[in-house]
Order: sequence, then structure tokens, then C-alpha cells
Amino acid sequence: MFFLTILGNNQGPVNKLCLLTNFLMMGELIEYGRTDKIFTNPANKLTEDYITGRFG
Amino acid sequence: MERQFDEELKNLKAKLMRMAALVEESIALAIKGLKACQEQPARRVLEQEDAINLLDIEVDELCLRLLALKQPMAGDLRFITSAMKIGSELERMGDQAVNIAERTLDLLKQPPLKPLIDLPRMAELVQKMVLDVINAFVNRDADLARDVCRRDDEVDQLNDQIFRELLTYMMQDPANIPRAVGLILVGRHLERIADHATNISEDVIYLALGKTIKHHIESRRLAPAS
Repeated sequence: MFFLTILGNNQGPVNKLCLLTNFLMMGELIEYGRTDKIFTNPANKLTEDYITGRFG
Repeated sequence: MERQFDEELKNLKAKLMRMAALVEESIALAIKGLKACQEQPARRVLEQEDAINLLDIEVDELCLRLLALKQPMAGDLRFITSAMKIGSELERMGDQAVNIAERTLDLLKQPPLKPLIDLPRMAELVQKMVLDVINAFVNRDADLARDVCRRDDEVDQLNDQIFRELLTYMMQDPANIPRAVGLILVGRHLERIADHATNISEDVIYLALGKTIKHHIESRRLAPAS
């Protein structure tokens, strides 16, 4: 089993390649979980606002 | 931060609300025609059908455009996919209203079989379900949506009661059969409208909470594996 870590602000590779996603902001872990869950129903409002382009 | 995309989402919501208003009006007119034994409201329902169908196409096209060009995520993605499904359900409700209007026009050609008591009561329940589910969608109110789902059982029971009563009329005199069947079909169309309202409730709950409750999946997932 291989683990691939992608760091970046570009959501494209994360959506396409990663099973799990961690969302960090200013060094703080805001949310983590399955990529499909994060991108369809994030639990944290900051995560929601970031991935919907309200900031960042 | 306001996005240009938000304007487009508002436009989509406005189209759905226009569609919902037309569907609510069609259902109300169809019931009015049946209760008051009037042709005019029933004919208006038939005239309005095209407008509802066109809005259904517009909603679909707008949703596809937004999915392709904006690649929405999270709440926006759930809103757009729910909007496509809700548009479809509203269009089917409009079709059922047309079916009620057509049954009414047939029934008006003969004297009434019996005073209508349970059918108007059923219609009132169904209209309230439709109104509440639209409000639930507007306000993303999952609790109101769940309440609409629960009321579907009451509508189903009333439909069964109406069927049993009309069955006795048919058994008493075969000449009653055409009118009784017409009324049974009206009950069936109302029951289907309630089912569509329930489907919309499930979509609203998914939109608001990101949770799927269709097909009693929550209880099936909790049940121990056999």
C-alpha cells in the first residue's frame, strides 16, 4: 500500500487523486476526512467557504 | 464574500419558485373544479401545463450549465443536484394536476355520484404538504421536510378509505362504475402528488444536512447484518 501526500491550494489534484483530505488554515487542522465527504458535505463552515470559493 | 456564482444560484432558485407557484396553483384549480363542479378551473390547469414543462427544461439546462462551467462543491453542489431532482418532481406534480383536471371534465358530463367529503379532505392534506415542502426548500428546513414525509401515511390511509367506499358503490350498481372509477383515479392522482412532495422532502433534507433518508436507508444501515 502506498500513501501519497499532496500539499497545495489547487483542489483539482486533491479531488482526482486523494482518498483522504486534510484542510489546514494558518497552521491549524480545520477538518479531515474522506475526500468525497469533504467536497460534498463538509462539517466545518470554514472548509465549506474555502472549497466554494468564498475566500482563498 | 458575494460571488458572481451566487447570482446564478439565485436565478436557479427563482425559476424553481416560479415553477412551484404554478404547480401549487394548478393543484388548487384542479381541486376547485372537482369540488365546485366547474369546467373553467379544470381547463385553466390544462392551459398552464406548458408553462410548467418549459420551466422544467429551463431548470435542467441551467443546472447542467452550472455543473459544467462552475464545478460547484459542497452546499452549492447539493443545491444544484437537488434543484434538478426537485424540478423533475414538480413537473410530475403538474402532470398529476392535469390528470385530476381531465378526470373532472369527464365526471362533469354526468350527475355527481355522491357528495364529496373525503376527497376534498385528502386534497386539503396534500395541498398543505405541497405548501410546506416548498417552504422547507426555501428555508432549508429539514425538520419541516421530515414532518411532510410523516404526513404521507395519513394521505395513503385516506386514499384506501376512499377506495373501499367507492368499491361498495360499484358493487351496489354497475352503472356507478364509470363515475366511481373516475373518483378512485382522482384519489390516486392526489396520492401520487403526496408521494412527490415526500420525494422533495427527502431532497430538501439532503440539501440542508447532506444526509440521505431515501428508501428508509437510515434504518436499513442501522439494522444488524444477517
